[in-house]
Amino acid sequence: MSANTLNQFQLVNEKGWKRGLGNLLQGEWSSWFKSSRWWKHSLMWFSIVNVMMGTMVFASADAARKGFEGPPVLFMYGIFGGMFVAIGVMIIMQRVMVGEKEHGTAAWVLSKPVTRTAFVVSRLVVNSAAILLTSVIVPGVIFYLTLGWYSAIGWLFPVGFAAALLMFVLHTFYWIAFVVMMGTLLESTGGVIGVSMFLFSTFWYGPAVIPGLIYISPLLLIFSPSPDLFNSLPGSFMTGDPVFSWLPLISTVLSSVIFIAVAIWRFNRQEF
Amino acid sequence: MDTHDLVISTEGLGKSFDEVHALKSLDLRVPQKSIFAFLGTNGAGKTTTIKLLLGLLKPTRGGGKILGMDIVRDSVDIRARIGYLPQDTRFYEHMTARQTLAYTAQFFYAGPQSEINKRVNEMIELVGLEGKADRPIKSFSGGERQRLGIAQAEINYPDLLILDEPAASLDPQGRRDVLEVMSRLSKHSTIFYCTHILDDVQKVSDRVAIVNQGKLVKQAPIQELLSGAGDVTYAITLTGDAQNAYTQVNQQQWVSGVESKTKDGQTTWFVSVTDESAAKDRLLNLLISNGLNVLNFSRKEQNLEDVFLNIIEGSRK
Repeated sequence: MSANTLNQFQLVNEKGWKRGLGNLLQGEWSSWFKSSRWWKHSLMWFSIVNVMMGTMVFASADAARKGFEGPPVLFMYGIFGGMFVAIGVMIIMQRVMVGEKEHGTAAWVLSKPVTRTAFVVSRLVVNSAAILLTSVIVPGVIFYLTLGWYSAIGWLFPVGFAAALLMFVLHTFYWIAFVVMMGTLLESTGGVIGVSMFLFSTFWYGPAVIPGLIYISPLLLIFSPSPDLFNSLPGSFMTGDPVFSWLPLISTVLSSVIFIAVAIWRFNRQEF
Repeated sequence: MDTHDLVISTEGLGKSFDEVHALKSLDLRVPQKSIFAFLGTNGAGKTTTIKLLLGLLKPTRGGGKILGMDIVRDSVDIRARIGYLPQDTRFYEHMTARQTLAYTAQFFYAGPQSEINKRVNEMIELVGLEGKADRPIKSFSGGERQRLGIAQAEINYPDLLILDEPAASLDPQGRRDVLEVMSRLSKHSTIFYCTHILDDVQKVSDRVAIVNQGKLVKQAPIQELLSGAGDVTYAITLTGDAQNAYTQVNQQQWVSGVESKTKDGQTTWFVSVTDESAAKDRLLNLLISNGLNVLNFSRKEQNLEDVFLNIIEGSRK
């Protein structure tokens, strides 16, 4: 390249592991928000979370007016806003790493001045932001408003609800990080979704057999399998009840960090 | 050759996948501003070599340098100065050609956007994709993808262009265009490419390396390879009783062999000679003096395909 040609351009000056990160983030962001993808996902999660929860809120308000006990709205939000979202994450994210490896776009991108760490970070950051926004934060806020306006529960303390929503965010992020890690470890989407579903089922049904699992699984961040005995973390934050245990929160955050570290370590050793 | 003049140099570069030795020990020397063809049969280790050079694979033995930088330690810095066209070009299908080129350019340049757009337009024009630049890549044919692949490889004015089978999926017109583009680009960049189309190699390359079963078997300027490919051979078509002449020709010191084929009453000899000037002076006279009618007398041109096959066969012995 001649000096004159070089002078016309401002060269990318990212250093170390961040080489290529800005453009990777921008590219991934465009694939979500400069296409129809973001509103399709928003619509899908609105239908799954808000339409279902709205129906329950109205049913609960109606039951309260008639003096009956309505459906357990906050408990059901753990299923629609937490469990369904986690399963959705596995389906949506299964191709993020494996698909790029299979299709050859990962090899193409990595033939440019890009670090592998930047590649993993870009996929993790943008997909997390997009999924959390479309499937947790926006539906969560709509649910809060629906609950305040229409349910017998009324307006929850906003900080308590924000803390509860943060638990849903961390729970979803846990599964995003796990699926990204599996995508770097495995070569097939079937394997990624299979292992993720197996772990998810273990956490969901396992505490009935091994009660200690409840402390290391992210389950309590969305849902309590025995609401009569102990509350989920969001349940405690929304109602002001004492927190049963902080261990699930600590374990979820630590596990997510480990998943990201393993994903980066593995991808840096991957051959294309 | 001074090592400073080399764009690529490898020392005992090798790669094994478990028990399979895809590349055994490669000592490659690619000089600046050359169009260097890297040839070999299927599975010879060509694509493995390219991936090792790009840092997509890690060597199990040896190492190498590109533009004076280590292929393992300085891989990202190397990739900032090279362009690469993969064998099977894969892009993000939802992007248009223009978006793909802009995306590629932004790995190298942070701005200004007007210059990036200008460069993108230049590349679109270079590969003749003007009418299709704003269509999603999923609608592109194999040839159009290949053209886009060449454009994205050249977008950063690379010092070294690595092309893996650049003309493989193209029709004759597309192939010709790609060769023209390669010739044009070679004024600014060194081109290292692998291909199966030996005809193309002979047209544009100035140096050739041949790899077989993971080992380098030959590396030379193409002219040296063609001229030093063995004895010169003359093809001669005759009529008449050639028995006596055949014996006489075979007895000449400068003749290394005569192969005879007869078809439709005509005999064709392939006379291999060790001294071309002696053959020029005496071979034709010898035939005429024996009363033969010489219908055709020509020097058989060596082509790269013959040379390649001879070398590959020789390396297997």
